[in-house]
Amino acid sequence: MEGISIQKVSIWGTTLASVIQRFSSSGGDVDGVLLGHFGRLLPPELTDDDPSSSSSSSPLLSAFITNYFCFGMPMGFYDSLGRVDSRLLDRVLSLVKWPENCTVLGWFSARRNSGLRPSMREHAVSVSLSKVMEALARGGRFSENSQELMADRCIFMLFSSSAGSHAIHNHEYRAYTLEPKSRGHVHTRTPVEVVNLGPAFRSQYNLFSPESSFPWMPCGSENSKVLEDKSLINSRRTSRDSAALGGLAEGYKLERLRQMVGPNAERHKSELEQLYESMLLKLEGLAELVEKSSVGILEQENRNLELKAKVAGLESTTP
Amino acid sequence: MSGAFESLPPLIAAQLNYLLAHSSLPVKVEQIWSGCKNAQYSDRFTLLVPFCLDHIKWEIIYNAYYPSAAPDVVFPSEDEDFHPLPFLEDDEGGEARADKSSLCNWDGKDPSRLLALIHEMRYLYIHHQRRRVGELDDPRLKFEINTVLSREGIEVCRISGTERTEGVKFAVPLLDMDLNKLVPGCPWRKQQKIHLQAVFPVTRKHLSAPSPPQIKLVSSPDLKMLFTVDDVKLPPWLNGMCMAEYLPNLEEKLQEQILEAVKAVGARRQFIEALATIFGRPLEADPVFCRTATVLCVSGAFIFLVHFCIPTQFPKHQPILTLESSLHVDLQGRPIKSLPMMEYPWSPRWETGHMVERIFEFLVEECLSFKSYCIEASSRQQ
Repeated sequence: MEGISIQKVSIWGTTLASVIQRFSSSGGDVDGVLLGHFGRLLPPELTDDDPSSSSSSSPLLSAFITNYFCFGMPMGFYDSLGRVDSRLLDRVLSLVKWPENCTVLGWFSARRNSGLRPSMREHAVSVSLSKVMEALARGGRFSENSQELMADRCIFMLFSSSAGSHAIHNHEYRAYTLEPKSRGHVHTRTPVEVVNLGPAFRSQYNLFSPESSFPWMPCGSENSKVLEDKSLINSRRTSRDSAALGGLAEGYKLERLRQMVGPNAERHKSELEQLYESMLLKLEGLAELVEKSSVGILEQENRNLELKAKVAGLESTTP
Repeated sequence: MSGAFESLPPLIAAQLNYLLAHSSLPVKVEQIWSGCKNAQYSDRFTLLVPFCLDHIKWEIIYNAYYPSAAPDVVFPSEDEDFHPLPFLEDDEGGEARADKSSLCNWDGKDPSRLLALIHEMRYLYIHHQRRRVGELDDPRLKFEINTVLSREGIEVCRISGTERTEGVKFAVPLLDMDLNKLVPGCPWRKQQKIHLQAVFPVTRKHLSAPSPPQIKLVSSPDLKMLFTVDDVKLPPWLNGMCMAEYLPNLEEKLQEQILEAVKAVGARRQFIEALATIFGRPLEADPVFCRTATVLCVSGAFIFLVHFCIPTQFPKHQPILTLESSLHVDLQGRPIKSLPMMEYPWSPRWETGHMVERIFEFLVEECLSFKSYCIEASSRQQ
């Protein structure tokens, strides 16, 4: 693992937005675990005049942050001395099904109106977490690829926001990599790249693997020759998936699409349109439900905050 | 500030109040502010923690919604390599130290917890700075540290800057005596101390003759009532001298002067007592250090006060007199005062009674011009 240094931290735009949203909607400080994977960066363009510089021994690494887990309370996975409770962390993280190739990369802390540098406890948590990460890596809990790239480098992201004048909120973030130095660990500022769509991120498209709970479309499943080659498990999964898909399509079989071609197409068109419309209706209903439940959540959160303030002995003067 | 205190949750306010009231070190709060979405709840503040004759600014971060949770500290950016917490990093006794830390098993309901935390962090910070100074490659500083660091209460810190202005500051507590007990009835609550501040420039090996340190005496503020360190003439720092040589000489001299200053209290008391025989009983007088006295005088129909401010160097330096009319006020309704007066006949060799007599004679003349000054000032207002 020696010699591996993290060149930059790449965070998915949606993940970053989600963390900031989570932070700005919370009453106080927030922290949580950052998940994702380490990946190699393409080496910088080779030059032909200096052979020594191109044969750099240390591989270039980037940390790709794709997911996060936020604890609802301060010091959710560590104690007041900043010691990480690895069993608790394990238990909490196992509650959610994370995509494959998704491991603990580090953690984040979001605090309003405070110095934008790691605090006393944050430093301790990073040191402790990096030890936990090291132990996990040695335990071989992760897929081969990430284990190979597993470094005992803990990524720490610090978020801060301050309410400026005219209701403008400034959100700031910084990423650090914890690096072991001769005298203890040091947080080193690491550049952050926010990954979005667009030509600038074309090089990262190959790192993307689509994962969805939507079942795989059994295209060409009638072609029995292909099916025969597959194992029993695979065919079972296919049949289970097609059942799920059937449920979503309200009984509209894929085979019926075939009828769209040919002389009777006009008759079947209205049928398909009906299906489409009913699906749109469903979506609208869903959007409405989401909106209503969001309002409910917001109200409940505000009630919780009021109760918390009451427990803390604070009196609110606003009605 | 009191308003800001009220916006803190009670548990946090109790800890902060306890710290300010009970700390043996003069810790100050610079600012209190909020880290909540609802900005009326405060939960963070800056503390000015005294260190090495200066102070360090620490941001203390609580969570208003979880006031019983232990606070966190953000240190200034120049101390980014100060990490008091990861006890487990050094293998020797790290666990034991963690268990003893005031952060371990934090009890938010115990108001003394913040005080304990700040003192613990300060103690660790002193050692952090000592280590930083020890890392410097300067043979003279290495020698100084080895010889004087064993003194109790000594603090050192590195002053960063460019290579030329880089230095090491020593704060050496002087005199092994309790200054609070020198004068009977002394009202000082905090322990008074005199320190020698010595700033050594960092010199790398190639320079043969290191320049002498900048030295000055610093005393705690209350001590000024009795003794000002500015009056002390420091013994010269000879070439090739070290602090272990310099300090005994300085301490001896300082002790002499302090004992003289204590004797001066007696001389000032005599002076105030002598005032009574000519001016009548003083309206007000400082009974402990005898630095001030006020007497009431009458000249015809003109009634006025005379304030005596008696310097620590009395009788070498004469008292400063200020006249204050009891009949005339300025536009703001304040009594009209004269400028402080030091130019009058005086000799430190006179008997105390004679000093008072001569002041009386001076005032008989002076009060007339003060009276006309007052009349003129008040007539201008109308």
